[in-house]
Amino acid sequence: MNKAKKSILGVGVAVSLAAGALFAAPSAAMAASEFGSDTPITCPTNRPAGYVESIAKGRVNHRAGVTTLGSWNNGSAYVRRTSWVGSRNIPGWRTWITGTGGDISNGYAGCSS
Amino acid sequence: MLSAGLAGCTTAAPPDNDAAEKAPSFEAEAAALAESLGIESPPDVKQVRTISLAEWGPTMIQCLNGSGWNATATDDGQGIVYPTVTEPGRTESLNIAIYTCEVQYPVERKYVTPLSDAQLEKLYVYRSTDLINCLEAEGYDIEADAPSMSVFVESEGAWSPYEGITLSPDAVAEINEACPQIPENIWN
Repeated sequence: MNKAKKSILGVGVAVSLAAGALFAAPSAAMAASEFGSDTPITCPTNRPAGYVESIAKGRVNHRAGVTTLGSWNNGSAYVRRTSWVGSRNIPGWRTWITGTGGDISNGYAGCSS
Repeated sequence: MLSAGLAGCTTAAPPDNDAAEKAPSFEAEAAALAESLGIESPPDVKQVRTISLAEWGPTMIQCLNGSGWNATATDDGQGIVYPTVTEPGRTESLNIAIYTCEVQYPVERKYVTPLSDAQLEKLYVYRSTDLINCLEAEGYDIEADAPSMSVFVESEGAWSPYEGITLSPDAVAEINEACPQIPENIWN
């Protein structure tokens, strides 16, 4: 799993978390509009399916490299969304909010069988 | 699609008197969307009709396809895969098409209104009982314990038993249909 927090709305700071780092539980005062990492991921042959995931409310988007994997409107409830990259290689990834009222409580990329 | 009528969740949450004030206006939402898409001078777009949350993906795909863009559904059937474009001019055109479709077909305000505590409590009960039971009946192991209701409400409903399970592209639509992440009736 590879996850990184890139920006936190409302407090105006950017925090990066290394792969596997613990992530603090979200709270009402901690709203994230974006997660992602520019570090490429190469999935092992026994776990060849690269994916990007988010737990988010509002209009959320997933991208791997320059490819937009998917966009959803989750309304005002947090929903898990998963996008498969279709390759063992994830050339950087991003999940972000569009428009108003959204929040990402967690975003990550990884490899699954 | 988001399904309705789940066992144990048949009553609507009490109305929140402040809810209407918390919902973004169509105009504010359109302005924020234009900003997110980098559209400096948004076109004048008239609303066609409001839609439900479950209609959002299919409606946007139909609208974009109608304007010549090859948008398709995500594996779960609830989202959109936009065409990949890299040329700046084409990207701007696609973003204007996305903006136009979303302003023509905005979701009803109840779906974008922040959930009230009563709705969050209802969602907590659903996710910590019916949804876990449903996922386990479908063969998924739920390892993560549910937080307390107060923690769930404080986090505005960020916890879901979906977070800890492994999905596959072939199974994601089926499991979302069988075990919806949100019971439709919390929006009533």
